[in-house]
Amino acid sequence: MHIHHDHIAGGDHAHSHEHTHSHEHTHDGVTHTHEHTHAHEHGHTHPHTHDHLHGDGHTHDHSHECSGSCTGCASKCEHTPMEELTALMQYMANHNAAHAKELADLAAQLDKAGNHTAYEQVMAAVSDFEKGNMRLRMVLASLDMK
Amino acid sequence: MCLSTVYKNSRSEENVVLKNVMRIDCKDGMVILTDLMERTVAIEGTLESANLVDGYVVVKEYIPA
Repeated sequence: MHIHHDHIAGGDHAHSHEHTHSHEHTHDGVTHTHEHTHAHEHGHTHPHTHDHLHGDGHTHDHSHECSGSCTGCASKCEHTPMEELTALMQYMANHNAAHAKELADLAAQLDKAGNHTAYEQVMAAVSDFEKGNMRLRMVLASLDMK
Repeated sequence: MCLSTVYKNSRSEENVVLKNVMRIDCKDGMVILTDLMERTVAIEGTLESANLVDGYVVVKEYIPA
């Protein structure tokens, strides 16, 4: 067993990823919270580490600054326990949002199957789920400020 | 979809290889694990089982005769 780090090219570039957000709206006198997912594109700089080959033939590692995100980062830098906790919480918050969307889809299927009461109950659960997730994000935001 | 804990040979605490594993690749007789912090661990062996509900994976390590 061994640990290794692969090189991933970095630098300025644009990429797209899915972006999920929710909003609350009312219809037929019932307030629901729905999630929407759409593609989102932006540019940013990835840090990276790689070997340099110099004119005299020698090589050495060259590391760029940390951008605060581990995704796509091949750096050999060590992370503090707090950084790891924050990364895990960030993952959980995103993961919960994905689960909330799955539940909302499930609710829609219940509605389609003719069980509107079950649909409303599951959507209420989705709303509770999102409230809990919002609390997580507030904790994350407070950790970011420290 | 959920993060997993990966064990070597059997599911016991002393056999934990890596926690919060988000990606597993099998290539050239190696099982390559990547955790949330992008750390990678490569084990020579095969994927024995993956329980995606309980979030654990067992890798059978290759032991040369």
